[in-house]
Amino acid sequence: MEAVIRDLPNDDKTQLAVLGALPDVVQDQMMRLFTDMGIDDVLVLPQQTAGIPAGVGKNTHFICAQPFLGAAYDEMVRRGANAIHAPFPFGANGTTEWLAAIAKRFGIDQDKFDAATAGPKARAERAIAKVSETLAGRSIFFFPDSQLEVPLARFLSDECGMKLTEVGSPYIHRALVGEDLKLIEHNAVISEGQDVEKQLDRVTACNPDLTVCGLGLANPLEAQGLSTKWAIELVFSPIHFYEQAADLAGLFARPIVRSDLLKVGGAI
Amino acid sequence: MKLSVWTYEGPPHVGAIRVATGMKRVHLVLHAPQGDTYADLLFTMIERRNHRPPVTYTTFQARDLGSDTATLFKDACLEAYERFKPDLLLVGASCTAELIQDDPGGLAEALGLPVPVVALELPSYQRKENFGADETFYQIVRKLAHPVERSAEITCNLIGPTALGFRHRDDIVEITKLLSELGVQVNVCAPMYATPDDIANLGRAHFNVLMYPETGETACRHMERTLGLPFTKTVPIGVSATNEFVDEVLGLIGRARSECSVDSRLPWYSASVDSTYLTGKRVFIFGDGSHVMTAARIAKEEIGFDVVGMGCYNRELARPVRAMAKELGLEALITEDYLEVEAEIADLSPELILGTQMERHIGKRLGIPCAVISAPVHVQDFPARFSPQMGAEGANVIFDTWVHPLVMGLEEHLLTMFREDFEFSDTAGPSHHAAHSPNQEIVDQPTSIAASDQSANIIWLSDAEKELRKIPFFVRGKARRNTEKYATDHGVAQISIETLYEAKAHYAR
Repeated sequence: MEAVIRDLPNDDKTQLAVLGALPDVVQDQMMRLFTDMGIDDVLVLPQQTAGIPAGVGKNTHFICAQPFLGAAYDEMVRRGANAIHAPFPFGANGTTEWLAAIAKRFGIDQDKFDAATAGPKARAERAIAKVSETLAGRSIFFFPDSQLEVPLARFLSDECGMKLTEVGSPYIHRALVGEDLKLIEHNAVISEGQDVEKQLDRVTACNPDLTVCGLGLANPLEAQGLSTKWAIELVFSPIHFYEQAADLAGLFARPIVRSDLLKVGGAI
Repeated sequence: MKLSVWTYEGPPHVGAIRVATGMKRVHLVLHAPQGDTYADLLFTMIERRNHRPPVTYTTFQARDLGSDTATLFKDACLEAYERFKPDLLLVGASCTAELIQDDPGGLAEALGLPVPVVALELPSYQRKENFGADETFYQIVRKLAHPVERSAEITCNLIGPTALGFRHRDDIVEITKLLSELGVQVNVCAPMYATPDDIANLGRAHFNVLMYPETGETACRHMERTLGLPFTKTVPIGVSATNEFVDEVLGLIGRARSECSVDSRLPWYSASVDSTYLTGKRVFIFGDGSHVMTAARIAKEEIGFDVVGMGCYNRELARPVRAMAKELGLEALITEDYLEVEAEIADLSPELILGTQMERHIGKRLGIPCAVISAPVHVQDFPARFSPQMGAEGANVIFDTWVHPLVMGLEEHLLTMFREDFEFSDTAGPSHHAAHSPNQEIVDQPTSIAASDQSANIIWLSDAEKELRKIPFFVRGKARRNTEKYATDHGVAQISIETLYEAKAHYAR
């Protein structure tokens, strides 16, 4: 991404740039939201189709859709583009905040913004509420893995009623996840970087209802009797914006539902 | 009688052949027209038996019907006895021969053969194959088994396995091993592998293990009354059921119940994080009653599937299957008509079918993966390797067999990510099994077939149709169905993108 941005020609037109690859169906939803808000000049990087002319410059306002784009973020700043800061677009609140920050930068009036977002926001809230029945009040522990940890912890605590214990992330880029971090710092232990043995001691001590971790740890923790969630799945699945909000909550609910369902002991 | 191209069960005389073929030193003389000899190939081809079934067919022709078919039958009996010298002769009539009322039993008795003769009443027009096997074995036991001295050591009989049974060969080995670990030796296994002498010795055992209620229950009830042999009621398929079976056996031999579980890998494999994606997969289960009921329990409690439909073809077990379905909030489908089963599957569009050979075909047509759990099965379901359904190893086999046809968890995400890639494209289908990978046109068919009368009036606007196409194929059918149901329930005549996502939110769980 960093290299792609470096190679783009200069373009001083006023435009919105969104950084981060999204599944087609999700990107199309996003573009419809922008259209409804009245923002038509949108550059998504990486581009879905090669060869379409694009450039960035001092009138480009950019926002990240994925939190693991620190280098791309820095390169955009170097190119003179202006960053928009917001929580990541996970869940109903996250998506609304993310879109609202863009709307504010582009001077979209509140009525137009509400008209574009009220419908999908309401149904996302309804859908999240159903899935949250499984999640509310349960505790969650994040091992550092994908850099999605901070925004996801924000979503789970803020919108699904989960109790945060430790939120570990391999690297915390404050310019990217700062807005999410602000919302969880007060009720979670934030840890940056990896010290797996100590983290394993801590997860055992706190015995959370759900542990989000890498592939290498999941089965040993399951054997220990903990319910786990593969972090990698969160990178692969469509989880952004309103229409996927309940799917995202569902990804965390599934391991908990499963351990309630199984009537034969799994620990070995 | 309903004519059908394919049937789940053959007529009752096929059940009699399954018993005779499973046993040793037994011969069956069937008063049957030419053509009924087709039954041989079920055993020699599908089960790969290297001997013809011990059956003599009288093979009368149309021109014989006006003359003396009774003499034809008597001659056939005598020749069969002379040639095969069995220790027990079974006689009966197949469907067509039943109508000419030659009384094979009476005729055979009159021959004064030096071996016992069991005459079988096989009402072809009311009953079917499983009844035929159950009834034949019961009549053999009734004739030959009488009270004898109990064995000094604790022994049991294995009751129910026959030729052409689904995994009977391997279930016998697995259950024999399990019983031996409990200190119980097998006295007789019957009908499979038993001689008429063995049948006479059934009473030496201390109890019976009823492996297959379909083919052994009447005999077990008879032995309970006449030989004082209690029998086990749990079919040990699945981890929980096997544990309960162990408890039942220990109870019968007066030993303390065990706390430890059978040593199967299923619980851990199912708890393993890569199995999370199995949670709530919608499954449809159809087959013989016993296998369907055990499968439903495993599906729900041991693998974490969502059972969305179940049923059986053998009416003898309709009552317990209905009761279990009701507990799961379902209405059981009891039918011998595979077209009804196909319609139900198309309507439910499950993510996995657990069924018989028939459902495997239905699954192929509809593009839905299927694992086989019950007879009738084809040649590929008599595998070379050891692959029981019962006991600890059976549970291992079941886990593998049911999970194998599905797209793996992470693979699902790769399919979403790389939709344009040839390996992961829509046309790759819901499974890596070529047999389950019909092209896109076929994959989408069931949903249009499934459209109810109500939803037939609903129009998909082209934007919504395009949006639906962006959803990965393995959830697209469900998305289409849910959206149409939502539109019907909410009086929406045209499905827009908005409707699609309203429905998605509505069905979130």
